Amino acid sequence: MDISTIIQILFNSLRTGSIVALAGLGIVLIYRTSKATNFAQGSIGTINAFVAGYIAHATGLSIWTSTLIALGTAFLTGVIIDKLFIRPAGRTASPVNKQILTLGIILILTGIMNMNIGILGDLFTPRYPEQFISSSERVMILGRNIQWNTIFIVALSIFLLSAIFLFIQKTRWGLAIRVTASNETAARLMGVPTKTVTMIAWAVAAMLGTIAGIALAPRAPAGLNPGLLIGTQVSAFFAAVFGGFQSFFGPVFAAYIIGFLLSAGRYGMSSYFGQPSIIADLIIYLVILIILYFKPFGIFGKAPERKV
Amino acid sequence: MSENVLSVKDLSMSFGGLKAVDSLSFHIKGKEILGLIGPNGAGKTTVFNCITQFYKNYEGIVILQGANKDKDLREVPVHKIIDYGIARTFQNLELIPDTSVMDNVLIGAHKDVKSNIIHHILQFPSLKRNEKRLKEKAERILAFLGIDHLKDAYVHGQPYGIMKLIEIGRALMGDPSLLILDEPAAGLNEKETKHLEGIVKKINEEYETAILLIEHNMGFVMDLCNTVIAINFGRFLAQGTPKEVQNNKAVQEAYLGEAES
Amino acid sequence: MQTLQRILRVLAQAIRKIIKYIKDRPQMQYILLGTVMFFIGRSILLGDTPSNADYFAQILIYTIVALGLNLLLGFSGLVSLATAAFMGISTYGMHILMENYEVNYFLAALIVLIFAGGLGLLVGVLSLKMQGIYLAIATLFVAHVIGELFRSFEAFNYGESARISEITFFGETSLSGYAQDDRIYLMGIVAIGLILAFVVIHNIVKSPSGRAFMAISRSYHAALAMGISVRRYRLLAFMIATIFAAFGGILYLTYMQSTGSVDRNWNLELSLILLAIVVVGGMKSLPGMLLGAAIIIGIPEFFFTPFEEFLQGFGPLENISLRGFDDIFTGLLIILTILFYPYGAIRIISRLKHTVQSKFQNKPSKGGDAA
Repeated sequence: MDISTIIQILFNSLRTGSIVALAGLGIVLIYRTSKATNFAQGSIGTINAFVAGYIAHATGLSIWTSTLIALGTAFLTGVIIDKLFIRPAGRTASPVNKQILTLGIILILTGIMNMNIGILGDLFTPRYPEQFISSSERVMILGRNIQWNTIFIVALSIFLLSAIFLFIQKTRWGLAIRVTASNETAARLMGVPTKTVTMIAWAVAAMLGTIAGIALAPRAPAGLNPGLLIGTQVSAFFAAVFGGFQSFFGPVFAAYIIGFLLSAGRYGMSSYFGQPSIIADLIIYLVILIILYFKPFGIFGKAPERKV
Repeated sequence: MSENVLSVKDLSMSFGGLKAVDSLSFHIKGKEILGLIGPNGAGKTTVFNCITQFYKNYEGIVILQGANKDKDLREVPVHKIIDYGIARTFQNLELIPDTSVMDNVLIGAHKDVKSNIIHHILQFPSLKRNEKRLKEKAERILAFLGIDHLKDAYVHGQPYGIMKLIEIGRALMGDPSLLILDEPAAGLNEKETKHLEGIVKKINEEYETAILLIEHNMGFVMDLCNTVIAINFGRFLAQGTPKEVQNNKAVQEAYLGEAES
Repeated sequence: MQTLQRILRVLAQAIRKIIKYIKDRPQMQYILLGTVMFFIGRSILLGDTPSNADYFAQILIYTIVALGLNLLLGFSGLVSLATAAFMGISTYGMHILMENYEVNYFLAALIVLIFAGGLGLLVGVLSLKMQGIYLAIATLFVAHVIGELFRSFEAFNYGESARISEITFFGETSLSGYAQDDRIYLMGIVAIGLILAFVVIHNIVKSPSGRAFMAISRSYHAALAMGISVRRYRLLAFMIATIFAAFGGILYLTYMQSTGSVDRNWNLELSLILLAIVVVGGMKSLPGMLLGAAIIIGIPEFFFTPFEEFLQGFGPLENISLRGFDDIFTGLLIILTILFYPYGAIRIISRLKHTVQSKFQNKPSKGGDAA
């Protein structure tokens, strides 16, 4: 294997890892503030990625502007879901019931994406949105042509992830998120506006999912489609479990590892074994599943204690 | 009366470096009612959880004295403890809310269910006979507890006092030789407590079981127990008749300390 | 005149006796229910739109799968998102065994069911490690891995659907989905499967095993203290649910004579729909599963489609489409049930029955009226 192949795999890993990390951090944010494992993370991102794709297509606006608008609708989607479905369940619903709620949300969003009434039919037409930076813009790195777009996605993700880390660690609002995450009742008693914190968490998670969707869509096999983020979401959950729901850093770290495994595995499977790259996905997911059997609460995680 | 049923020797248990139980030793004799008292957080429930093997990583030894030979309970998996004649109730009620009182009590007889799921699917005739026998036994126990009129009612929505009795009924279904009650009178009003007192006494006499109980209601402990053991911070403080323990200086100080803080 | 009265009285007595006989034997009620379902299916097949029978058969098949899932979710408190994937394993498994290895139908079904039991055992073992919210995630992974497996190999037609032209049962006896007469028989097979599923689950939940399943989910520590092996019953719950999913898959292949495809059938969406049937129909209720399936599958298919055609009759609406409304409907039902009606739709019926009964008999109502 020459250096240029390694560079190629490296950038593919970073790109896949970044997209998974964005989605995964959203899942962890929501879990930490609402104690809900949000299975609808992928669907929320996809539906807003459709919005960006449609706006760019219908108005001729650049993908940059369209993305900004889609981030606005994503924010709204998060707020609406929190207000309409998650808040009413409140503290009475068990974590498993909250999980089932988010499963119901998947069906509603999938239904909306299948709708064909008025503008919706056009809005949810599968299409390939443009990349942030045209694929012809490339840079030579150690003998390999790397798309600027890939570098941009990785840089954007790392910037966003670091910004969120700093926000959580350094600001008052971040403190509120951490307090809400560790003990909501105590946080509320101490005057932390937990409702607002939870709402913001849903909104931010939705925005992160949307960026993941828009970054993935141009090079996804079927373009924008209702199932766009299914694989990403599965990887993101792998990352969240693997890195531990209890930390913000663990899942992001795990996301890049999974990104690397998938990219390297796909490359190896097609170039060394002559098999379709999908078999690599199968094997990697299977291996991770086996690892999770032995480390069910992640590499950093601890088993929750049951009180007798 | 004098035979030991269960011996606890040098029992210690810590959580994250904090000793919840600290080299505690005591015996329970056949047919006696032994009360374990102590301020909140003294480690009483932890002792119960070690005896019934919910915790396995304790130090020391818990031995069940049998007719023929003794048994180190650490070798027994938690769900086999009942086979050795030890049944317990829980401080936080552990009942199935969405089914009948009868079904809840029948859970206690699970060790007597000799059939497996294949028998159940194919409805073996022996299953019906066995179920009938267990139901009759459960009805007798419910009548003994004075709640047989509720057997078909749902547990959900029953008064707290009734739920406590259902837990005791479930434990009795296992024909225990040692019954462990974790705060049986907590949350009961005076009338219910008196009723429960009578029932525990009757269980001790009619079922000939030794009883080990934790309770904060001192009147309850004084009336019922033959022997009382007081502990604090997991350590032994005093043992004796209820009167002796009540007059013990160390015990008084332990409780006073709690009242001050 | 007197003779007529006597005949009437004897007749009334006989009817009362039959009703009492059935009332005392829940198994008989399920046989009756299955028979009624068969005749409804038959009349659809003989009616104007026999294609609707496909949806009707699916209602019955999903009821069977939901019965197994109910044992897992409703009774044992365990979530699985891999149900549809297990159905897919069974349809593809049957197809491979029957087409590639020419195994007899019944032997193939037996092999598939045993294999499903083993697979359920594996997922059960996983569930011993990953509890609560982690379990649903783990089953999501399992479903994803199975989906990738189908898409990776030619034996599974790379996840696309594969048809079977006809199914040979004994020697010459074969049934083809293309012949109307044969389809009535096929509907009969599905109905028999439904009865079997109902009776088996009924026998389990009304037995000591049923109590144990409830105990491990609702009073975990007490279950252990009373001698119930949580490990054993968890594994059993997963095995039974998976075997029921596989049984549903076998009946799907038998009736539809197609393996179905990963993207259109054996996906997360179907797992969610099955979950919805259990939640909306009413956890722990057995007839509720049929009710749930009828609501979740039936209402969109039998009411939304005619309504769409009705709307299209109006000039400006001629191009209207209600696509997507079925999923929104199901999703909303799940959410509304969880938020406002945790006992499910069957509770509405039992409440009605209760009010009617107390109206007529003027009996005071007792505490235990839940479905």
